[in-house]
Amino acid sequence: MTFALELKKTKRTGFFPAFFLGALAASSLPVINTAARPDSFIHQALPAGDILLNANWLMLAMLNIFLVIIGACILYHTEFSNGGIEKMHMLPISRNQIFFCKALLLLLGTGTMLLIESLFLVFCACHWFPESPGLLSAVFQNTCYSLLMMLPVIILMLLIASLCRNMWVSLGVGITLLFTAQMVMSSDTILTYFPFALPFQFLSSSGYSREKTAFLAAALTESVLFGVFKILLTKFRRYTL
Amino acid sequence: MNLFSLIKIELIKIRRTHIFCLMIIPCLLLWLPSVLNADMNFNNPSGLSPENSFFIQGFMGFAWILFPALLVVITVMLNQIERTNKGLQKMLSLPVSIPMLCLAKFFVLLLLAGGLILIMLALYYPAAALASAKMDYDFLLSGSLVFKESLLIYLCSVPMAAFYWLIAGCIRTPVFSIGIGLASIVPSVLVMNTKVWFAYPMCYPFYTIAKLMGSLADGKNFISIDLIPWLPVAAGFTLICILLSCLLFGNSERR
Repeated sequence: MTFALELKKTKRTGFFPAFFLGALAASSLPVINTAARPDSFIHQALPAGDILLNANWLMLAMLNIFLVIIGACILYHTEFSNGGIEKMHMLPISRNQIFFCKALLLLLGTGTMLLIESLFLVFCACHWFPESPGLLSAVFQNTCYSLLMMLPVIILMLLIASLCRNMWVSLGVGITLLFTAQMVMSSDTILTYFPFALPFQFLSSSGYSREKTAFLAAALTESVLFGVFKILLTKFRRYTL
Repeated sequence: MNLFSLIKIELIKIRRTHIFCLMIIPCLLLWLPSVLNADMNFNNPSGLSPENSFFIQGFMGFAWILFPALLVVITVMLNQIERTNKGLQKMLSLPVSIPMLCLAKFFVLLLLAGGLILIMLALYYPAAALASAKMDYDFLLSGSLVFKESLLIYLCSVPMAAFYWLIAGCIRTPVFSIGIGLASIVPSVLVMNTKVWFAYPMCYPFYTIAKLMGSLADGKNFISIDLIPWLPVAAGFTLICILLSCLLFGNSERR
């Protein structure tokens, strides 16, 4: 019921078209990148999926996080812009339910986006690297893995968006967090588990190593943590920034 | 009302928007790891001297993502304060010229961009002094290089700011206006390495700092960029963007 309502609310915000177009824009990057200088990629002695991900994943992940930030801002902006949230609070609707339905929506958008990007990666691989065994399963595994790594970003960003009445504040906070992630992701301390730094990880064809499993566990723990934090906040906090 | 008083009004409007916090905190976060990891500057692979490397690393992160992204945030803010509670509709009923209002807002955007650069500069010196004290090595660069590069980054960002302001003004759906703005930042790494970099204003600040890194590594004092295709393209681009945004600003409210 709430989910259907939330879906209806996104109708005129351009939420899903934005994810679709964003995914197309993001997927054009590996195609252009490989088409512009195929020589520097073809002769590497690595599986095709690895070469493509190594060359492009940093940019793709950044675009994905940007889109999640914008999506989260928009989902709560529709509530705040004309005092809608006050009306929602008077109705017999749970605030947590609204939050998690929005999270599900954002997860759906991100999933669609990652799927489109994977399709384009497969296309790139098939076009420039004709012999690539095990490509499909590698790319598919990477899609699922990235979706799970996106989960903490989605929930944290929605949490921030639900706390700030003005869209530019949540947008600015999101960008600050993304920028921080850019700086900490290459460090070798616990900071690599910073929620916004997780989506920059990807699965190479060697599959799950200990390290990747640790990242997965960190992502799931952080998501649960932020979810619980939101539930606690709705209990104790009445007003927004 | 002349442009000057309009700008003054716009500055009053942004007083309670938390925009200064949003500008200062990321810059603080940028210099913090540079100071903590100051020892990394001593083994720079491209042959930069440590003090140059310290400066370039900090400003590169700034010019690539932070500066353009914060410009987008500022445009969103300038637009939203007008659109919430139908502020622009009320402005339309007053004897205020809408192109003038648009220009005033654009100048505020440029002012805030200048403020951002000033914050960066104001934080660079304490950061460099801290790093010097920590590593017992002089990280402070001569003022002329730092100021020249900051000024260059600022001037280079004007076409980019005009573009963001155009998008924010004429695309009413916030998802798309923010989305286009932020998405245009990412490919600048790719475009910068091609021959037609001057056709993509979003990469100018990053291009200049990357150029500076190259020329400092070669032992030169400052950069030399070919002005001929660049300057006319940038100036034309800026003018077109400002003109279009003045014409299209508030179109959806006017109907």
